[in-house]
Amino acid sequence: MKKRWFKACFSLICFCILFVFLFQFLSKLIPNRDRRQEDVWQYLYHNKNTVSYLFLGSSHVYCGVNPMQMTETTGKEAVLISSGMQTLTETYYYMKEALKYQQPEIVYVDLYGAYKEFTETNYTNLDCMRLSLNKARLVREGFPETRLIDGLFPLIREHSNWKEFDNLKTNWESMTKTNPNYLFVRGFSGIDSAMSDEQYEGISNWEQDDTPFTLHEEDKNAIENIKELGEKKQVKVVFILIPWLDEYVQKINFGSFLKEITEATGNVLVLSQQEYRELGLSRETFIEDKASDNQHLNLKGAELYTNWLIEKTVP
Amino acid sequence: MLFNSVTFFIFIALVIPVYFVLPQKGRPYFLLAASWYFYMSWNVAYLGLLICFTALIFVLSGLMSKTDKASRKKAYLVTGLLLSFGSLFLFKYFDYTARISADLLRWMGILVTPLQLGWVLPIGISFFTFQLTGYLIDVYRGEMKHEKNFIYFALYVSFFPQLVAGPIERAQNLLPQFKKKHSFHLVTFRCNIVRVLWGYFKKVVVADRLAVFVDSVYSAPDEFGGWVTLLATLFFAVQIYCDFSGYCDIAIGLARIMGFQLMTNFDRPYQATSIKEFWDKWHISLSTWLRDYIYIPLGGNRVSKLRYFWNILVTFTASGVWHGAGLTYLLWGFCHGVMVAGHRLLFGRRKKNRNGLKTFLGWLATFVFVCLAWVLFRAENIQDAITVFHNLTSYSDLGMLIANGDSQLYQCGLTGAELIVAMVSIVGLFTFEARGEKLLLSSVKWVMPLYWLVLLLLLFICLIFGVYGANVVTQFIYFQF
Repeated sequence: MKKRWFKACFSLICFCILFVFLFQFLSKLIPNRDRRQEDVWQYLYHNKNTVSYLFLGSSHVYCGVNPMQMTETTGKEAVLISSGMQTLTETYYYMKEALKYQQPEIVYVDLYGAYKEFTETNYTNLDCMRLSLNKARLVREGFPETRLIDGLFPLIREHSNWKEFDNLKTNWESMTKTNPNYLFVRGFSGIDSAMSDEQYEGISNWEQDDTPFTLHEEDKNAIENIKELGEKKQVKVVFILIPWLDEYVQKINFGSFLKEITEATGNVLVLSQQEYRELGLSRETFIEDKASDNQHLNLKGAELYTNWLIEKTVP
Repeated sequence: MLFNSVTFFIFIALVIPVYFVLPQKGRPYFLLAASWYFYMSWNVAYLGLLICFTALIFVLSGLMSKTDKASRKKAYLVTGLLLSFGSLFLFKYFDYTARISADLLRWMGILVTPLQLGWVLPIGISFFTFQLTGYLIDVYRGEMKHEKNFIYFALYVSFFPQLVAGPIERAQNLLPQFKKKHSFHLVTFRCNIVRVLWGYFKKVVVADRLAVFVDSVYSAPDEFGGWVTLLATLFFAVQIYCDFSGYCDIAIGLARIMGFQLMTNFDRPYQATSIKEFWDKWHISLSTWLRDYIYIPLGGNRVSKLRYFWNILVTFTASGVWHGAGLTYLLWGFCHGVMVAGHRLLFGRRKKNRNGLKTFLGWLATFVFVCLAWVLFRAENIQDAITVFHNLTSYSDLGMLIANGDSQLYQCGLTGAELIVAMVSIVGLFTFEARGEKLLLSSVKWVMPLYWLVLLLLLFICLIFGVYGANVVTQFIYFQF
């Protein structure tokens, strides 16, 4: 009887191990992941202490900063960890995770996430992170209780659509072959389009909004955490604000926002209006993007801004 | 706490081990507490209602057993039935009846505003009402002794695997089982875990995925052509079977793991070769309840022919009405009654015909009728049902069926390749179900690697292909009854 129970328990343990192994394998194979960010994280995990410049933030980062250009100019590796509507809380945890494997000279944190009310953690970088305490904490802070399992285990996220499994082939290739093109991209998007007349006129016709800006408590906490982390890991943290379309900036209470984030961070690297013009930024250096916030630099704009950033921050 | 929720998995993972660890004396109390907690997870007020119903019938059956006077017994019975069915009527049918009455009066020129209670239907009320009243009738008839222990009785009503959507258990079957000691048997566990996973497969992989398609069509039936509507009709037949039988498999499997035998509720109904046979195989607990407590008391078939057919029509119409407040449900039940009566009229009590062609034709006719009747069951209202039936008469949309882009099928979320996969899966499902029980029982003899392979396959198919998630709202169809 005792022997039977022992055998049963042993079988159960073996079954559980097998299940966990298969679960992890299928978690890599099946769920759709952002290929660009997947390669970034794989690079960070497998090439320890090789990154000198790390950028974190929202889509403004993967449109507005060209890491390959930084590498060519400085001779050092630059990588972007960014995703659409990335919150500052996410940025903090991604930075924390990345700093387990890298010791960059400068960490750049874009603060657009403080301006926009991004509320829920998105999956882009989350799914590419290894299962870790940082990931668990980020999920705990960034998701409602009903979605905690979703955040941690992409394999058992929603499966309501018929066409979810088109990515199997791509994911298999991603697992079995390295993609040098993505590696070269380092998280950069590089969109080559320019704002249309229609979109530009749309922005120009927006009503003036002088509502004063108030920084959210979560964002204040995230900024504090980022600063503390930088001190603890002895990395220089530079808070930046990748340029927005000047015509849009004129329509809002930008000064109020700048004041809030400067108070919270101590110092924010932002282009002045004169620098904006001298750099040659204009509607021609922003992408045609009606779906988003009209604020993303295009390939040309990214080139100009990245050069400026190198001049200002890289010794 | 839906069966396909993480909370339920945690609940089961705690309840079953604790149940077996507890001494026999404590088990009924624990199981009752767990069952009440399970029910309370939907709404605390529902639990109050359930306890009230349980206490009421318990008291009435107790009073019934203490008296010898037939008139008093009858009075207690009538009281119990009136209060039970009266409450069911108030929760489930009152608002609809009030609206229909107001419409009728309006048609006669009398303007009235219908009184609407707006009470939320307590989950499982139709099921436990039938279970309670069945018990009361059995005690009245002397077929069952009044259960003196309230805990056992309450457990019979509230036993969580079958509380919200059946099977509608008979007290003679379930009550005595709570008094016996049940030990954990690895063999039983092995066999019934497969049954539970198979139930989840039918529910989250087949039923809920087909529901994506069916719901698209039935939400706007006038936008679709004949072929798409035909597919939706077939898919709904599969969906409702997999949804309900999947739930039953989970309920029966979990109960059996704990040592309790619940009655079989489905026996390959789509293999039926006559409508009568279909009802011997579909929702068996309901059909036998209706037979024992409505059909037979009305006289059954031991009456004149006219009265006999009337009894059949009343029983099946009651079945339709039981499912929901709506003309479509009533018509659905009535149509089945007509078919059963018609079948008896045409074929009498003929034994099953062994002629292959006749058997096939019988199966085809039964399947076609059942699928068409499901249209009434599924449609939101009579108008939609008529639209669906009308769509089924014209098939001019074949060319658009499986093209990409703007095809109607694509709009329902299904491409040609997926359609083929769905059809192949359905054929596979029913092929397996044909040997279902035997195959399940034989699982205990499988070698360990094969057993693990089947378990892992079922698990991962459910995890990967199942329809669930924070933004996905699915429910077992029969939870709404």
